[in-house]
Amino acid sequence: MQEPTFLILTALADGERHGYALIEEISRISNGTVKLGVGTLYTALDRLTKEGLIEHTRDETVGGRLRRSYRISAEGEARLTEEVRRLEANLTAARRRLGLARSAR
Amino acid sequence: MATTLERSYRSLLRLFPRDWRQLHGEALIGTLLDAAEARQAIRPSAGERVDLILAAAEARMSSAMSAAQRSLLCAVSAGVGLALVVCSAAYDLARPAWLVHAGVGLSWNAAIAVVGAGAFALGWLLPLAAALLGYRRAAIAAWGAFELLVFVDVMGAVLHQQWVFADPTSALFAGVLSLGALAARPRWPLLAAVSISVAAAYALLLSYVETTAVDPPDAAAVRLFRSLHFYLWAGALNFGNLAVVLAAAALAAICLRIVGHRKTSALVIAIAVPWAVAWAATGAGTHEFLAHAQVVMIMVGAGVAASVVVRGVVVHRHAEAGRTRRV
Repeated sequence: MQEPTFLILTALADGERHGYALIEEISRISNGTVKLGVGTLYTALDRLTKEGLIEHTRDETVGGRLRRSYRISAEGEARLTEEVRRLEANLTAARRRLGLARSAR
Repeated sequence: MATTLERSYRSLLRLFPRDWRQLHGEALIGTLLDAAEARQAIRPSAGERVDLILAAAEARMSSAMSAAQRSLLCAVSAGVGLALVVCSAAYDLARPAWLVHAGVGLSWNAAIAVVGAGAFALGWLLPLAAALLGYRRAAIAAWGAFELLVFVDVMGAVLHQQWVFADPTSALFAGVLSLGALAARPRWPLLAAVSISVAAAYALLLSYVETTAVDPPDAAAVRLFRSLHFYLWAGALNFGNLAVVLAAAALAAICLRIVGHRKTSALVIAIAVPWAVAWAATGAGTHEFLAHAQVVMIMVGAGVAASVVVRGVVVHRHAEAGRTRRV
């Protein structure tokens, strides 16, 4: 799973969000290291919707601007969970080999 | 009461395909304005423009071709490219007597005479391998180096009217590998566009140089095209190159058929048949014909094998990475 996909699904995991809120949330999740471009965000949202990983929930007009909200789908949740397990397994292996026991930190 | 900022964003929005705009346009503008307000911007930043241009290119590309089609294209172009490389290497190393005796100037022997098949192969294989494996920076660097080589070559040909390592087959080859670039990394529309324009410019320039500086080969197809004033392309349509193009078409048709794209396969064959007839008619009964026919068959065989292997590798990578990687 590519990082933008992972971050978008993560940002939607605890509830629905609209475009700009997603960009801010992703920046927060990644400690400010990932600033998703608006164009990149919408091509990703388009792709993820087509793949059934996220769903469009509602449109709302605020100050003349359209805000379109999305939420994660059941399939998206399953996929994210699967990815988290995969990453965890890799992390555990790396920690073990580096001698970084969880208790030591 | 749209502001200047909004008008700038809307003009950038026009780069996206119509369907996409109808679906996401207003939400995109809304988000752009939200983001601009947050940083108190009055005009789109350079980074934002680039991001939107790339996103628009990707939206256009993915509406034209699905991921499966792009991976198929990648496999076919890899197959065609590999076949060219294998054949040029084999020819260079073995210089089979029956070819030399027939006086066959299969144009790739000129291409490898200077730099050797190895370098020629690496220029194409390295970026493709890096791209397939997901090493984006390495692929960009390797591709950049190859495009630079092509550029130097073109300049050499234009300024000194002589080849560095070029001939029209290399142009064809550059075109094929650009297709590979497009297919392998559809997320890099800019790179693909640069790659394709370089290849196109290369083909045009080489054809021009060959038709003006060198007598064209005496195949009837060339005379026909000269009479039709297709001067630019005449150089690329000699007997040997037509054989390469036909082999590539046959290869593409077979691969498309293997993967189940029957209509496209039939279309490719329909386009290639008149050319094959012209090619056979001009060459029938000559030494060259037999020699070329054998080379074409070897090339198609090598290409199909390579396509199957590459497709296998791509599919295997997907399967190995699990469903999550597909995203």
